[in-house]
Amino acid sequence: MSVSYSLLEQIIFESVHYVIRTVHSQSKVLDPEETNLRVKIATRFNEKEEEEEEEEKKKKEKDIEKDQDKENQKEKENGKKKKQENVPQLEFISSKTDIERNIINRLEIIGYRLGERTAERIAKNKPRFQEEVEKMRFVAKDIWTALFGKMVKNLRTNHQGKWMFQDDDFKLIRNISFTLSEELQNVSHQQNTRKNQQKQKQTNTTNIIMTESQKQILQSYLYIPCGIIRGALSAIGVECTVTVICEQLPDCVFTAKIINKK
Amino acid sequence: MHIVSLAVVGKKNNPLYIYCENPKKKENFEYIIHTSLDFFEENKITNNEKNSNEEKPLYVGLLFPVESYRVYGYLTLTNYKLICIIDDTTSKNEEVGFFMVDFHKFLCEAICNPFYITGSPINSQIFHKKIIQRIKK
Repeated sequence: MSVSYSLLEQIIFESVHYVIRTVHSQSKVLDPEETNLRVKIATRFNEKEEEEEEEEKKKKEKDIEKDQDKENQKEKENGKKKKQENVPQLEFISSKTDIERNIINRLEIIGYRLGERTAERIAKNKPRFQEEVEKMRFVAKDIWTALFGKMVKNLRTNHQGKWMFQDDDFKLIRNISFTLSEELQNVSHQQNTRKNQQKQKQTNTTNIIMTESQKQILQSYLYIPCGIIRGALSAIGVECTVTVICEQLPDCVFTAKIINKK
Repeated sequence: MHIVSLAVVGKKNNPLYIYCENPKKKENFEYIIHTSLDFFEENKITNNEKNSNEEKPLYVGLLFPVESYRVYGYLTLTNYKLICIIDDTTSKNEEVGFFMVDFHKFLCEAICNPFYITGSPINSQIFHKKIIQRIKK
């Protein structure tokens, strides 16, 4: 498929571009602490390990609830200090360091530029948009089919500037898997509930319920599509912030909040 | 169809690309392009029912006592304005329309360059060459 090939090309070019930029800008060598942090981010799977790391970092009490409270406090402080339009506000956040925010920002910008360019290409022969609904439909149908081969399953609004794109079987995270022990944990947890059994019978996809830590890691794969939506909408003329919620594995809900400039 | 000047204007009405056949008269054409931006705004407000990618002829009339130009505009869905100044009274709307479609296509390709920053001037030489080739046809 020619379109998917061009998407890959663009992603490759973008990543190369960013590598070149960072090589030129960051002349200093990364501290060993920073590299350790990155390794820790990448290999966080077990909840116990996470807790230990957080305790080490913060040097505080060993109660889980207290840690979470303090995490929430830190979130708010960090959120107030750094208000960047490019960084989307996320649902599941543990204490984010500068490096993590930087990476998130860059991933989102990659998606943003992808979205702009695909909107430019696809909007050549389309009729003019009369209302906001049509612009959202353009993203939900045309851009989704061009990039992922299918349309968004459900497009909803709360009529107050919030639009939700729900995709049942999101292509970019569809084939993500966990280690064997985790899968067994997830499956056993899943089989206990009747609802999931009924759901599995209805749809052919097996939705996997994830733990908190797994969801946090999954978030890192969802920044690029957030950016894509934001880029496509801003190319058409709608400024917004995009967030994503992913409860079960292939089922995502992207919410776009429109920024009204008065 | 004798094209005298071309321009691409971005979303915030900033000029991204200006081509003039005669570089000495560049300032005059820049002025004409600037005035044509008002007509785009008018069109947005008055006409709610439109077909895609609009073009409208703008008669500037006898700006210069010697020559008279026609200014054609084209507004993409992503709010890029393509402006084309023609020095020919025998050209038809359709001809210009075909040229604008090609122009839009070249612009699309120039924007899709991953090293291009949206909102910055288009300095792509390939874009320039393509336009010059197209003009000569």
